[in-house]
Amino acid sequence: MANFEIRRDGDSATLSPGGDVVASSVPELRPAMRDLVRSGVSDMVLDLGRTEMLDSTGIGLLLSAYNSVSQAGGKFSVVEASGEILELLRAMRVHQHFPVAGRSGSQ
Amino acid sequence: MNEEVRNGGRRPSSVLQRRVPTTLEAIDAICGELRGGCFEIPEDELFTVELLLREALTNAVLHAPETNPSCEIWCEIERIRSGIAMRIRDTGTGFDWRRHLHSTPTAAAESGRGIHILRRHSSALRFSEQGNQVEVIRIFGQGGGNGKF
Repeated sequence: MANFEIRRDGDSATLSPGGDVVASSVPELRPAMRDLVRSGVSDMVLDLGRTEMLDSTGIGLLLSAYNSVSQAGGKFSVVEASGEILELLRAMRVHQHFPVAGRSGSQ
Repeated sequence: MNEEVRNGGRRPSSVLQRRVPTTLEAIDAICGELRGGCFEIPEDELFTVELLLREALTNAVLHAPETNPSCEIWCEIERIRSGIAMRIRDTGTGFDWRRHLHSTPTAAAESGRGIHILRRHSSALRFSEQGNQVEVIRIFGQGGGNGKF
C-alpha cells in the first residue's frame, strides 16, 4: 500500500507523503509525482504535514518536481513544513525557486 | 579536528556499533534507534544529528557497493561529553572526497547536496585518505561549520 495520499481537483493536486521524504521513500514518491505531471497537473502542492525528516535525496526530489512542473508551464509549492525542514530548505536556498510554507502558515 | 572533542569527554558506555546492510531501509532502522532516545540528544539537536547520520550513511550505502559489490559498511555512534561523534566506514575502494568537499551545488541542482550538508551542519568533518571512512562530529549548541544549525 502506497505511503502517500493524493487529492486531485482538476489541474491541481496535493500529494501528502505519509512519513519522511528520504532516500528510502523517494523511489516510491518520484513516479507518483511524475505521473501527476504527465496527467496534466499544473498546480502541484507537496504537503509535508506528516513529514519529520527531509534529506538531500528528498531535496533533490522537490527540485526535480519543481523543474518538471515549471517546464510544463505549471507551479509547485511546499506547505506544512516543520520548522527544521523550513530552515533546511532556506539554508539550501531551495525557497528561491518555489514557495515553502511552514506549519503555522509562515513563509 | 577539535582536540578536546577527539580526546576528552568520552563516554564509553554510550556507543552504538552496527554493521549496516547495503539497503536504504537499513538507514531508517539505525536512525530509528537514534530517535529512540539511546543517546539523550537534546530535542533541538535531534533533527540535525539524524540528518548528518543519514547523509553519511546514504553516501556509503549508495556508492560503496559500486566499487566493491561484496563490501561491508560499519557504523559507530558515540556520545561524547559535549555532543556526538559518528564514524561510517566501508570496505569499498573509497572516493575522491577532495573533489566534492568544497563544492557548493547551485540552488537548482537536483543532486550533490550530501557532502554540502555534512560540511555545513557538522562541527568537524574528516575523511580518511582513501575516502572509505568519514567521521562526523556535532557539538551541541555550537551550530554547524557554516550555518546556524
